[in-house]
Amino acid sequence: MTPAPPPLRVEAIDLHAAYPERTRKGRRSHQDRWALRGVNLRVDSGEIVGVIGQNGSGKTTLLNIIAGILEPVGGTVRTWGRVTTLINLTAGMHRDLTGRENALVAGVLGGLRRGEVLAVMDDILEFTGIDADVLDSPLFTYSAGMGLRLGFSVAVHTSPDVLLVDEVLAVGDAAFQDQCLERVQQLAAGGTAVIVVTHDLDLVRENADRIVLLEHGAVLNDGPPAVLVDEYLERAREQGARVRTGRRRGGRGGTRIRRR
Amino acid sequence: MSASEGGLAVARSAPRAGWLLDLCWMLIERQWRIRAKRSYIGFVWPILAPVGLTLLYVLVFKRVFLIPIENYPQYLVCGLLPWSFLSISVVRSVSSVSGDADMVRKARFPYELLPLTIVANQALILFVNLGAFVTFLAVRGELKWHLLPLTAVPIASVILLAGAASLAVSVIDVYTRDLRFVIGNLFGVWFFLVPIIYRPRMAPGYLRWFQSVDPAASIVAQVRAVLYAGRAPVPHTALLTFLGCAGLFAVSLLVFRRRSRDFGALL
Repeated sequence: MTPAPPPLRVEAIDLHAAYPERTRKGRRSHQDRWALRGVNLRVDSGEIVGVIGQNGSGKTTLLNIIAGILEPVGGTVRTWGRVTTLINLTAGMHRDLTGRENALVAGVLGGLRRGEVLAVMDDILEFTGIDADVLDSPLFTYSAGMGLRLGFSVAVHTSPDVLLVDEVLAVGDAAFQDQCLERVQQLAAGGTAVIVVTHDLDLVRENADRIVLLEHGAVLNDGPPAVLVDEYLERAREQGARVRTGRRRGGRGGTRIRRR
Repeated sequence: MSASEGGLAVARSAPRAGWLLDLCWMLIERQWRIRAKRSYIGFVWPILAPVGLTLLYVLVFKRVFLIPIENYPQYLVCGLLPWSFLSISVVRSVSSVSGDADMVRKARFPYELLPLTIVANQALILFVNLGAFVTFLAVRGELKWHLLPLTAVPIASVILLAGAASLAVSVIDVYTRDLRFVIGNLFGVWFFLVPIIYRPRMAPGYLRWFQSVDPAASIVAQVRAVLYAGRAPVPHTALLTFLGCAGLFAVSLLVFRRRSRDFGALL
């Protein structure tokens, strides 16, 4: 008997998205700027899908539509289960509130009941690696990295069925980055569908099950990481971009593209 | 399952009621906690502020301008309590959505909670202040207990009016930042059009028509009828005002929800 396929978690069909163009005075123009043109995407439970492409190719827009933050102007997107975003890690946090108080705010905003946040509060705080007495201090006394650690920790403790990650796996020092990556892998192993938007090509080559390559708001290709990263690098070289390879000191993020 | 199609949020699963309650409470609690930080009596200021305002107005209008109204402090408080609630709620709500753009860009939730929890917060302060005023009147033997339940209608009306106006101004502020610069002045003008510091008949004739259609003037008159004059408000006026405020709230909520689909792209 063949095993049942993993349940579908995200399905986007023929997605179109546009942003209102702004005039020089910040007023809305009558023309819209297209961000996505007919994007199709399916992500199953337990799958890690990397989304790569140039700046402005529609990666973040795609993530925001899946999260329900943006409405598409055409097409359909469906998600199954709790959707958690790792997009703006310190959103909703206030500089005068303590780490604990901000964790509660972020947890409820992330879809948990108040009691559920309090039940995992110790785990959240332990994951941050921040001293307990510091967590009772106002957020304005934290470094930027500590605030991001707290935001990351809350998000990954919300038991998501779909995790949307936008360029935030480079939070904190190298040890914390590894801890974050390990946690994301654990979630995927537990059945969470993970979509990672990143310019860190080594990260997705080594960890993603599949890569979607976006260009000018359309899916150029969807396939195995090694093949797609090489295809993307080749296209970048053809367009005259400089490709930097090799690992950065003390962390990931080796292969990146610098456009001239 | 949740879904969106063709720019219309269809079949997006209804948020769980329990979570929505937690979110409301969290947003209200967050405002109180922020208010209490770096302040010795942060919780007490909202209650002390109307007392200070009343003393100032009594000094200016009773002692300096010799306004001929008996029991002027009580007369003033009956108008100032609903008015302060209305004006503070709306002025604070203007930037509630655009000021919390980070939250809007991070998670999908009923964004109308951002202005409405500010109104709810101010409503709690209104109840505390009303309670203190009613106690004051009772101690002085000036309260007609059997009429007290009748204040529920104007209080419900002013909460609905504040909710409607807060939703409207917060959604306007997403599209244009101009309103936030003039809303204080607009409320300043409105304050002098509503008979709060003077009797309605002291207003010139050309302003009477405005008072007859202004829900704030009607609400102040109803509160004053019960807590100052010791008589029941005119029933059909109270009912019409309540229905009008409920209608305004329903329309504002509908417009806010429709416009909120654009917030992610605009903020």
